[in-house]
Amino acid sequence: MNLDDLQLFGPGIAVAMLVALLGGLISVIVVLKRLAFVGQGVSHAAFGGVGLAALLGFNGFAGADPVLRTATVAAFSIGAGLLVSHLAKRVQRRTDAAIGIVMTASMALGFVLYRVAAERALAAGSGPLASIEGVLFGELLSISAGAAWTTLAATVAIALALFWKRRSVLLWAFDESACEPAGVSASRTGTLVLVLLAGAVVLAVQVAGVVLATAALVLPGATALRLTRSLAGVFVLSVVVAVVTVAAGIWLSIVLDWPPGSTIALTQCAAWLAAAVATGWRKG
Amino acid sequence: MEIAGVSYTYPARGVRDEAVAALRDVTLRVERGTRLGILGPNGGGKSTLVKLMLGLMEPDAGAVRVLGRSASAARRAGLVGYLPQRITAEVDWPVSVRQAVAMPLATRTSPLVLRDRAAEAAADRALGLVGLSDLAGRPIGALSGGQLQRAMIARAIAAEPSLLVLDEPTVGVDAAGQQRFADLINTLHTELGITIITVSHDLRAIAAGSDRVACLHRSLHFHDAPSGLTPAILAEVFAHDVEAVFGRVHVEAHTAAECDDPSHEHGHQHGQYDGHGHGHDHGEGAR
Repeated sequence: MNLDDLQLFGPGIAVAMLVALLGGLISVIVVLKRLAFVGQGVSHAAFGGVGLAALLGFNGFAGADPVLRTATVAAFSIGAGLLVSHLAKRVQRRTDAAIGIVMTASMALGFVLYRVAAERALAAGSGPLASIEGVLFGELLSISAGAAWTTLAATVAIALALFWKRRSVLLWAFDESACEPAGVSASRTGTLVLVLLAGAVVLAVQVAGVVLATAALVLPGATALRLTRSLAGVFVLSVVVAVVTVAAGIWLSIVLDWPPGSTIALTQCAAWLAAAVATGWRKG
Repeated sequence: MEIAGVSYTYPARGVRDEAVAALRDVTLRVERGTRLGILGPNGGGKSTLVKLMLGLMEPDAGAVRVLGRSASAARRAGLVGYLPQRITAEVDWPVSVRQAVAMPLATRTSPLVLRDRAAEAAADRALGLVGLSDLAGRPIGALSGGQLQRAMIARAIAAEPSLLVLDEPTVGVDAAGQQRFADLINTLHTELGITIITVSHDLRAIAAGSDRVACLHRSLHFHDAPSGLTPAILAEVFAHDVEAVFGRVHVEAHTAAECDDPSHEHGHQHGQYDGHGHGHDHGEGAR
């Protein structure tokens, strides 16, 4: 890889490694608390934010546009996560149904907004928008330096929040009904986890798209949980698994000329498969 | 703990629902160090009373004070331990018994403290009191049902609360298990001098570990030593459910003046307890 390649790949690789670190941490909570479908719902809901950002005209790859685009997608995803939480608690009373409703509504809205924005851009002669394929499956090469810096700041913020509230989050995930007697607000802790998860989803969407982002937020934790029975060990191993699989996925995508987001997701699946086979498939 | 004139009505949810009066004008004073049993049928308002005692809900009328504070303030200060009816912890987690027991207490520790040895030490002390010291390092999923319940009691007392609330602690436990549970509660009472409130529909659970007994069926009925519970009082509280609950125990017609509360309507408005048809005159008495 020469200097030109590094400038091209650099921000994307940096973002992918940051997503690996964060995914390694948060995926343990996601798997233990059974939030995989919540993550999947929020990542698909991010498509609504992508459509909204396109309509608002944040379509450039330089300047403030990438940051504004990420902020719009983040706000939309967090809003969708909070809406899921509200519907599940107060209206529909079933989290899976609430996710199904918000996910499909956001995807549909996102596609409509994206098409409207694309037609406006065409009419105005301002060039085509980023491809839908990239939005769905990730476009590592289109990640700008500005997006990489935004991702670094967001990763540090989310990781710090998780670290600061780790004991409440663990109690909430281990036994939600034990929160209130211990003086911990279960609903506030649940909302915090949802917001942090939505933030991590938005970062992962840059790498793997709205369809595959969940891979980074589920598979490292699921893999680590097959390999160790110590809670601290699971977190450490999950981060190691995430970093190694993301690095291997990027390398394979360069060598094989496969799309990076999908290759990373497949590498993470392969690691889980290897761990599952090695630990006797049905165990765990 | 002091409950003064407390009422609670669950509001109607939606147009097809009706408001349900769960508790009416309940007054109760529990001195420090007392073991109080609260006996009542399912649907009699026991769970509602527990939630009010823990400050998880606010009463519509009246007040609940625990050690001179509001119930929620006392709970947040770690003065109240609680053993829920059902164990909802994720027992397939990769945590040791010690870690699981220490978890609620650890939430009070500064996040800058990386390893919370104080909470672990408290967990070890609590596990010692419930007789699980040998299993502290085992995975939580390796415990039997009875051991898991002991671990949950250890978790409830790890913060060294002044009041311990046990919600239906012996549901699904056989007679020998109930006796072991009663012995454990008595040990905790002796060792810690803690106030213990046991809420149950099961007379045996109440009788084995209580100095005083209150009967609850929407309103509070009776308030004395377990030996003061006559079959008639039980009949009053449980209406005609009493035979189903106590098996061979037969009860007399409801004649007990102690339990006659003119405001009590046996839940007529909900049609669950009609208060009639339970007059068996065998006089064998309650066990």
